[in-house]
Amino acid sequence: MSSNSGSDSEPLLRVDDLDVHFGGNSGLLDRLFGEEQGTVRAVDGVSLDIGENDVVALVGESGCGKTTLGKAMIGLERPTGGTVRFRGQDIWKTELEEGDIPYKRIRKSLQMVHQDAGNSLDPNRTIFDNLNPALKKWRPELNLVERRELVHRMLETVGLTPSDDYASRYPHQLSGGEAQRTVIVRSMLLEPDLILADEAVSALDVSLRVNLMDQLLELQEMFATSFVFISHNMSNARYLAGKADGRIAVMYLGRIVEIGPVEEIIHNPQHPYTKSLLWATSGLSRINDPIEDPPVRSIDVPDPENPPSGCRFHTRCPEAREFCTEHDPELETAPEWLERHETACYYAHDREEYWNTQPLPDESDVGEDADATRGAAD
Amino acid sequence: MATQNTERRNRIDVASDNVLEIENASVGFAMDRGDAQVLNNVSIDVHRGEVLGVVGESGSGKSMLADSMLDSIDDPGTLTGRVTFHPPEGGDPVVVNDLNKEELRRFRWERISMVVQGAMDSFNPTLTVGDHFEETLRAHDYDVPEGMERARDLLEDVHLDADRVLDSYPHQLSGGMTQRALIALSLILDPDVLVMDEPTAALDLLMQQSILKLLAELKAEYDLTVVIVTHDLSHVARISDRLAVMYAFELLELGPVSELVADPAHPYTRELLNSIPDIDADLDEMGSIEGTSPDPLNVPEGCSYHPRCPIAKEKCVNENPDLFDVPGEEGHGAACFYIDEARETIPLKKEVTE
Repeated sequence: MSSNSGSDSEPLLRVDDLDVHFGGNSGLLDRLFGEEQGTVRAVDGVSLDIGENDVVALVGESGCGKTTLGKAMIGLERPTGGTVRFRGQDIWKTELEEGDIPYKRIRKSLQMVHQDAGNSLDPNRTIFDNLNPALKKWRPELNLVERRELVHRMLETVGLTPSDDYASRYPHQLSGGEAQRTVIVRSMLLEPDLILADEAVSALDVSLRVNLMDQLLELQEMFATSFVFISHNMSNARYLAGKADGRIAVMYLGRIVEIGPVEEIIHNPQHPYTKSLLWATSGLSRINDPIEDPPVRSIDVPDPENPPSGCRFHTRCPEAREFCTEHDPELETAPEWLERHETACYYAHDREEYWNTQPLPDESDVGEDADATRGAAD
Repeated sequence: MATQNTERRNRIDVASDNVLEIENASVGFAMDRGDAQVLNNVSIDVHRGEVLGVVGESGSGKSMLADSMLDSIDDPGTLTGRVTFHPPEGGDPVVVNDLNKEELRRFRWERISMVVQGAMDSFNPTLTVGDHFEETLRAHDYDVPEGMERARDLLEDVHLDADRVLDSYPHQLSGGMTQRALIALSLILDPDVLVMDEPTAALDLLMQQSILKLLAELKAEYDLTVVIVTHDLSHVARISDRLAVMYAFELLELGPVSELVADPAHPYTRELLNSIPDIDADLDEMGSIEGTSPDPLNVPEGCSYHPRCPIAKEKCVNENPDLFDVPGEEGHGAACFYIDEARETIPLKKEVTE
């Protein structure tokens, strides 16, 4: 593979046909006999480009693989297939000392902010002492005074003022929102190129969320950092990615089923699964409308160990026809949609072969999804 | 510490058939740092057959209000005030917090049952779901075969395969399935009231909304009164008849859902509505409320919202407002001295379509 780092043709991060499969019988005998059971295909053939200064919200239900995809993208989860390239360089090959960009540099460039961030702060150290070590390691050119100055400036940017006070506090003296901001500051101090924020706002009280999202966006703009937000909440995803003029990617059972510019996904969704997520997102303006029936044939997610054949959504999809049970749709765009809007659905693309088969029976038979198990790969 | 002024008018009266009446309910906890008042003099009537949504952020006292309805405050917390239950068949009202231990054991499940967040923890992992139904029936001396028939109906009502679920252990079911099985279990003794504390918080949106839809159906089918406690106003608004807004362990506003969402009277409710990331609203019109909710040991004097309130005046710092009647629909009350000013000066950013 050519190491064309820094080339203009390569985006910041390119995910190509990525697989992350967990478990399964990978012993010698199983391999000899070709048995593969109990494998969870948490991420299964996902391709996605993240540009410079790009914001993408990954949305989906638990177990859809959004966190696993995010972690694989930033080098925290080893893919079982496909590649993740950082400025053209395969990050997993780089780990083995190949390529122009040192592995250390890539690790610094790709950062993560966890849900429930407070737990990732050392309770026995002050906020400054929590932030200082990483800065010392990754920014050795700065002396203590400069590091202190930088920390204070960043705390002030996220509203933790007076910063003198906050820098000398211990984590238990912070509210949940303040701890979340501190962790965000910690990740930003390294001046990464991409931050993965996993449900970074959903643990906060509703009345504080917009404020935190605004501060995230302010930092994003200030540092021209790319962001991947993982969320199960369409309203939060829309706010974060929408304000940054970014995209929403909708995941279902290890696949991206629809991706596109934010308002296009919200107001012109094409995939029936995206439509069902939007159904589930009550806008306040609709409170006087009665809740309609869920626009799915089954409310339970199938067993990720044993995903449905063909289009994985066909067991729940209200539009599914027999064609969908055998054929696996790919992400495609259509001329009448906005640029960069793609979906993987035969119905949305009005495919003739799809219309030539029978619709699946509209059964309320619940046995079909009875294998749904708990605690999937998300 | 907010003054617990018993003279303060804290209830909104409307002529109604009440299944539950909560009068001056307060809950105190002795903590290392001092005494914490985690429910402060709340009075509220629950109307028979309604869905009452109790909305509040973390540390608002909303779960304490729910627990008070079944007198199930954890030790060392103590409930004062009075909770009265009126049986649908008539007869003597039951003062819930005067019941002895055995009476209370029977009262729960048979009269009022409760579903909490995280169904997985409510099930014993060593018993099948079916065992839980049988055990509950036996503990209350109900006919088991007959009860199990009802169990099957209830499980089908919540879109579960009854045979399979009854034979399953809790860990064999997904989170959404367990939560629905718990809802079915809570209805096995045909209670009059179902109290749900964040019943869907740990679940995905599609499942949350589906469960709310199922609840609306169950309520109609089984003549239930439902109380749903949640941090997410937009989520329960669509199935609620009335909303109660809690803040700093007090009831700040109460009213019919349509008016409470279309034109709330309390500054907190107005700002809360404006702060909810809303799928239909203009992106530039959402904002947050400055500051944070108070600590239970350090609730501000006067109106507990005054440090965050944009229209707070000296009176708000010194006096805790009554729950005043709000002009408009009957039964709408707000604990604010300046209702008119709040409605005029804090514009709502989202319009509710009528």
